[in-house]
Amino acid sequence: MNDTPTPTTPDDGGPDPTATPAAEPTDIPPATTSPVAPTVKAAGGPSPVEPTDIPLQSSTADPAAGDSWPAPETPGIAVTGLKRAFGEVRAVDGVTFIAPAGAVTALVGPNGSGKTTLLLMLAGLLRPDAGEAFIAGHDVVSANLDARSAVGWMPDTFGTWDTLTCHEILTLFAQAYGIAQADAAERASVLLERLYLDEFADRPARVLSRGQKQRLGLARALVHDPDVLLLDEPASGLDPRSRIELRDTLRDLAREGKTVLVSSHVLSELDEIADHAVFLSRGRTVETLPSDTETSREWRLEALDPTALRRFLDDQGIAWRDGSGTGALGDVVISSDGYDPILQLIRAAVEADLPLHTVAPATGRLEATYLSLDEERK
Amino acid sequence: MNTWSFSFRGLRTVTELELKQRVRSRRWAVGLLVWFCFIGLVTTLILITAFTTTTGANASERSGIAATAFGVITLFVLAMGLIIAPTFTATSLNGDRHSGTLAVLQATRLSALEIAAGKLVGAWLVAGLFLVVALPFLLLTMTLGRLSVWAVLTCFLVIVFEVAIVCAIGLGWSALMQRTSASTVMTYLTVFFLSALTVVFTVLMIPFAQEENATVHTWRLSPADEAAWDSDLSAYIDELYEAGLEEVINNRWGDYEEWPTDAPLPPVERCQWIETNSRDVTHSERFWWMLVLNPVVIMADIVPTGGATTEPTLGGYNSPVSSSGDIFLTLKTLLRGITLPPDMIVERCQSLYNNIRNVEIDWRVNPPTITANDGTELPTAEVPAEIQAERERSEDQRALEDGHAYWPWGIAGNLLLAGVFFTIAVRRLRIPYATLAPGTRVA
Repeated sequence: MNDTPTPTTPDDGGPDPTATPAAEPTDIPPATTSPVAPTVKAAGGPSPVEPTDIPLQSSTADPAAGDSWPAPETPGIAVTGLKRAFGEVRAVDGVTFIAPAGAVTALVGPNGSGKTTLLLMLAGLLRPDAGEAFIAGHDVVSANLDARSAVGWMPDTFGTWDTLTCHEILTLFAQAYGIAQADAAERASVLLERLYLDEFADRPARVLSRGQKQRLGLARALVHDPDVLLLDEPASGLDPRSRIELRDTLRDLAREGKTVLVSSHVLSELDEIADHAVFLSRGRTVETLPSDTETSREWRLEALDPTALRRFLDDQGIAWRDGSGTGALGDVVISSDGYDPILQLIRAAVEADLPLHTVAPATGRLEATYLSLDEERK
Repeated sequence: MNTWSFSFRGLRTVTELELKQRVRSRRWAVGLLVWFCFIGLVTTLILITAFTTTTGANASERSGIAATAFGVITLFVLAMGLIIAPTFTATSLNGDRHSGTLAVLQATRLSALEIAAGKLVGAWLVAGLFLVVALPFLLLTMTLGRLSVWAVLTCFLVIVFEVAIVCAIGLGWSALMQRTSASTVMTYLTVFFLSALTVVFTVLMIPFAQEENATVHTWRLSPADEAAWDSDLSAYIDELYEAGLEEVINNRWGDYEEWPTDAPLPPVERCQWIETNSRDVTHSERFWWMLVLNPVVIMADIVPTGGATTEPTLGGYNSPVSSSGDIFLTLKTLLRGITLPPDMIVERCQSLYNNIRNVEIDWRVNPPTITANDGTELPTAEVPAEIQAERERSEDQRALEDGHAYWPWGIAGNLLLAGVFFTIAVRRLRIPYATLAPGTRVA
């Protein structure tokens, strides 16, 4: 357990120096069932979700919903009180959340928090000890085959079939999902093109780079056009360009109405793609969070006149500390609850004629939440 | 949960995946070439050895030698098949699990049965190709040995069958064992058990199947008659001595060249059943079943014996089977003989005549006729049916005809064993997993 919340260097390279409050493009698809997700824990504090609130869940996400499928309200993934132990180790110990269709849901948690085990249960490979999980309305245990048919699972390790070409792998997997051979070959070609792998179609999978393999793994998970996508650490080991491509692909898939659940502990990348987040710690859901929730986090300010900036903050009565800039006076870091204090601060700075040129979040939303949870845990 | 559901499309998908994965690697092609050269080399060496050590043999002897060569080569191909078969499946499931390709397959619509069957069929087809490569050498010896096509075909099918059995066993072990090295060792141990330990255990059973002082029925003279004849003989010899005819005794009788015509003949007409409890016998028929799982036994037992000559031979000392050069026939005779209960009937009457050259005995009629050189019919008695029956067939023939066949039991037993291992593999592939073996990862 990495209980030490090493404060990751506040400046994260600032890929988007814009001070726009919503760094996330607010392109939530119209079909998004955002009302559903917040009901999970919208008002809930960061206290760990206990199985006590299962009744609340089952009213919205239980077999009743399965009957009404494909009603738009049916969440892609509905999980209540899910538990799974391996011997003494309780890998998943009470997970409850809903991942709505047409949105990307992030599954966040430290190593060993049960993310992979949870995904294995959702992929229909592992039987839960307790609790229920529905994939597109199908119970992963009692309707295992239907649930498996509706889910595309991309494991954290990409297995290699040494001598098979990319096209063959996809064709065979399409056939494994019961798609006729001709259609399967067609589907494989379409997917290779979509994931920019068409030039590797007839090359063996082993020659692919890591990023290309990840894309092939994603293509494999998409081969039967599943309603629900489970991606386990899809961006690990990817270069920045591949990450951006992955992000765009996942956003496109969500826009098509698919339910996308992405696990990762690289929070900055999840921040960019996830509409919602589910936080796992020691096998439990500790927080579920829609993307537009205002969270308390740190902001980085920079002005042409650093001294004036510090004086201004002192005048405003805002606590600040030096950022991690060069030894000389540079940026400062303040913390803020939500966006309103920041908007007021910008307004005041303009009025005070302060040459303020940068106002940017020092940490991602998910990271802030993650660290706050981590601290609370101690 | 579709663990046991099955469709040919699913089977074909997994088989295709398996075949494409294996057949396209260069390693595989090299292996096939090495295998071909190796079998070819061994076959050539066997044939050269067989024919150079027997120069000057006539045609029928030559075909006997070729038959021996065929047997040796067939057994060699069987042994090699049993040696390579585990490599095709013994790491099939746990290896795929390690390389992360099993779980994604399980997560599809494919059932556990389809995955297991597809892997088995794929491995079997690849192994079958190895056997097909060895086929020309079997056909070569078949031509040389003038063996029947059926014999060769049967041998080949048995090898293909046994390889399939070992493939299924390997698949089961690869599902049971977490480590690929462990499953490989276990598969080889199982093959070793079937082909070698069954024989060892059978031999070890011998002391436990002994019957001491078994009741034996002997067709012989009564002790009184024997003593009487002995004393008659002694009296006759004493007479010869007294007459100074030692030479007659030494030269004629001493080396059994010629029985003096006036010597007293054994009173065979007075032979009778005498019961004794003096014999220790081994009841091999009690444990022959231990051998049925042995692939070599099945092979030897199932091969058609064709034109094996099994003419009746008195006393069974001259075995046409063992001189035929057919290894399988020899083995089969031996094996089937094991299944028969020990012979509790002993014939000690006619053998009294074995050394008497100046009488002619016609055993074909019952009672036999015994004619002295001077044409007089000597007294005779009817031979009991049990003994007459034994005389009509050689011991080998009796073993082949009366002995239990091994192969139906062997094939059934092997199928059962393979079925158990295959079922284990399917059950271990069943998802969603309720329990996982310690240390196992799903993906």
